[in-house]
Amino acid sequence: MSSKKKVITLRSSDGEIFEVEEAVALEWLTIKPLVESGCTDAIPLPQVTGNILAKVIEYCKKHIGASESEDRKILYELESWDADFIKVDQGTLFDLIRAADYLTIKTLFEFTCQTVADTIKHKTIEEVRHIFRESNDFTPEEEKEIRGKSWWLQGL
Amino acid sequence: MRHPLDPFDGYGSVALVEDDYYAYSDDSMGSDNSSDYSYYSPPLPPPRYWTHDPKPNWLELPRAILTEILIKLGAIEMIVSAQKVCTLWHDVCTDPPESYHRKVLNLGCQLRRLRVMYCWSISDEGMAEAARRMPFLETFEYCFGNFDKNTLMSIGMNCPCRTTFIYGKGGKGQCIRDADGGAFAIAKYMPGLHRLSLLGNGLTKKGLGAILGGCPLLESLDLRDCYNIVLKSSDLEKEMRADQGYEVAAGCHGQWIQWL
Repeated sequence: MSSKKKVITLRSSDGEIFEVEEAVALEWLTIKPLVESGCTDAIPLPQVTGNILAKVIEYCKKHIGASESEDRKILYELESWDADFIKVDQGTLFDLIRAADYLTIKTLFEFTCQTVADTIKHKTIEEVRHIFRESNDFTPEEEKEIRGKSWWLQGL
Repeated sequence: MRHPLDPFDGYGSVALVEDDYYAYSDDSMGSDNSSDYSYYSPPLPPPRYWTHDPKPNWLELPRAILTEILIKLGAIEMIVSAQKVCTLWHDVCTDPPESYHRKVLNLGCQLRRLRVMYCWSISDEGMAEAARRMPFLETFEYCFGNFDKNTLMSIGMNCPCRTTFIYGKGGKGQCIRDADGGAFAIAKYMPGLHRLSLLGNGLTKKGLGAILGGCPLLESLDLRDCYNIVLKSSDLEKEMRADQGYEVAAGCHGQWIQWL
């Protein structure tokens, strides 16, 4: 066995080639079987563009091993690193969520979903609609029904 | 041919067939193969390779992802606002009630106040499980549901910080057979109570005596609609007055004891 860390090659939708350590790639459950089978070719990821894949790799490299650390200083640094990492436009956040879901990267998926949830929190319905460009597609009857229902009657 | 890593094919899971995988050729990558996708059912977004859009259409997110996001909002926010945003969000937010209970359980560890009303589907076991996860609970209000003295016991044993407890009408505790059972459980397992409301409870003088003895820190005890107890002009009142500084207030629906 060679002591050199095994490197996995990935190809983004726009043909960019990335190299990641095997340990990082094994966290991506979608490609894990391929990595484990000893695939040496570049693994094509036709749904992820190069710049998003670069960000995903950056996040996973930073987090591998560090998330489990119990050293408070490391966790604190990681938290502030995360906060900087996620300062991206809505489109990038959207792509990161899809990429994390597609590649089944649990930590990144949880983190990006939480980020979206935090933007929604404590906003009015109109503000949320504006942010997500959702339109009010309730019929007047439905809207009346929903607003009329006492929320505590709904099982909480 | 479908690409083995097609996002619409077993989203998030992978069933790779090696031959297929290697047979996949570069010529379809990046090109428009909408014809390949024509058999997909209508609710899916129009197939296209992901391109960066600074203003994405969030409606294109698969429902499973949207659910994850909305669950992270917490049960209250889901019910109070998220479900009113659009029909899709409403559908996601109005899962069967049991899932709300699970959400409440998940956010329970930090919870300080909990009010449970009209939740007939919460079982005694469910409530006991919830109590175990809410060590910081201070105020607990329970009206119109079905749990009994065992649940009171598990709440009492698991929530040491609890100072206020409101036990409303309609519980099993109301049935005559076991009217004082709930009171005995409160007296035994909730000695730290500051405020207690037993609304429409069937407890008798015996149960009341147990509570007064078991909860020395009580500052107020609300006994509205507890018709088995008559405080005014009874021996009980005299006993209580002689013993400690109580004031008994009688309203249209019953009585209220305030410690002076």
